Amino acid sequence: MAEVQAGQEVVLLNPKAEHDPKEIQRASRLPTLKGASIVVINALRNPQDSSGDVLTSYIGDLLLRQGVDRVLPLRKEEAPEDMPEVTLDYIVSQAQGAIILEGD
Amino acid sequence: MSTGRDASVARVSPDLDPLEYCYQQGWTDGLPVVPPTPERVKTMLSTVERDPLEVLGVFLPVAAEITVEKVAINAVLAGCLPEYFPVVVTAVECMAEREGSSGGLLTTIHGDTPLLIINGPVIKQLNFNAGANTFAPGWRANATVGRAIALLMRNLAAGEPGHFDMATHTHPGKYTYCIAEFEEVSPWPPYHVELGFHAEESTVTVVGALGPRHVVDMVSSTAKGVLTTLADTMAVIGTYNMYRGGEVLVVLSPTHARIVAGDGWSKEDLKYFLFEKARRPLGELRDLGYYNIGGALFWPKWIDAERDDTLVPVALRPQDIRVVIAGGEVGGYSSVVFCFGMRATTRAIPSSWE
Repeated sequence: MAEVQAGQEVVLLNPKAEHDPKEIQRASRLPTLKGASIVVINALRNPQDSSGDVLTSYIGDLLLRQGVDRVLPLRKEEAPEDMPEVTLDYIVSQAQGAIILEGD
Repeated sequence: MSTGRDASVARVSPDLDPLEYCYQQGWTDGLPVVPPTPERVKTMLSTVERDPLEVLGVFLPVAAEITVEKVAINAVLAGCLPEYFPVVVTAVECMAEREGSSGGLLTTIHGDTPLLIINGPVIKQLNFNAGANTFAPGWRANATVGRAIALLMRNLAAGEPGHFDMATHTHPGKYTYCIAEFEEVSPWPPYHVELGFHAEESTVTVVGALGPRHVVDMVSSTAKGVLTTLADTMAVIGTYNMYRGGEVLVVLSPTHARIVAGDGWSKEDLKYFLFEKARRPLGELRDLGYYNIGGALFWPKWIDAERDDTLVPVALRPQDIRVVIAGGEVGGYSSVVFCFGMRATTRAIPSSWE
């Protein structure tokens, strides 16, 4: 095994990602929730777990109390997979904002 | 199997200490690391029969491809001996199995971090400590295997603290967090056997965990006494678990385990007792802690949320109370570890790698 010491060129392997993490510019904050349509996406590991629906529903109620006009609940199956394009198109066309629930 | 990219190469000029270069690149956790030369990484990789470019997982938010080679590079950084590498790969596979949780675990403001629990013959083969100073430094296997996972998460998934990793406090286990079960002094079958693995198999369990909470009981000489003390420590307001369930890990000392088993109790008896006794009256939980965020929202129907005298359990099922035996052979101390963010996941280390 090669010794590593100062005074000679050393080759090292990069332990980090081979791409720069995408810095996605945040959308500007909605000036008001009043009259908005918001998608609430259950992207939990097991979307069939009823606790995800409970939380989705609870967040929806809170949003409606803040003056949101429509809450559109969605379930995203297969949590580790990318969101299908058709779903993204639906969100963009129907809503001004989205809340995503992730995790176990 | 998907295939990732080769790790890029850095050439460190002769006038720069490679260790300082690692610091400059943000590859460390603040402590010195072993510079990952190609020779060291190759030796690490030689211990597993895997394609170095095999992608084991992609953890948010950095969403880097976690290739076997990247795992090896981080294991070198952490100071692992090559023979530890199968354990590290198996731990990463546990996290990949819970890929949807791993991103949350690594970025949460809550502060859980992966805790590794080692079982089986590999404990002795690689000299993991399961005895005195269970959570403490001093053993290369525990220290560097846990650190390899921590560095890998930092370098490939969570990024630098304060950027993606937004934990408010977290705990020192984020440097390294790896324990082993003291199987030979346990009065019960080891944890992995309880899960259905063979005793001759070696396993790695990974769970999202807060720091250990020390529990003192130097007085009780009965199972009920020891477990009543433990139950009281488990049922505290300032945890997610009290409001949301989840898992609780009980690291029972050999002394406490001997007392409990000496009264003829099985591990299942122990779990049911803690499930029954580690409870708080709902009236004491109301409008505190996590109540309006978790709490009644998620409680199953059998918890009567209308009554203040309903006793709410810290775990929603006895099997969510996980028990391992570890620690010095003398001493009336055990530990409770509140787990959240990633459920306990166990995998066998392929025997051909040992």
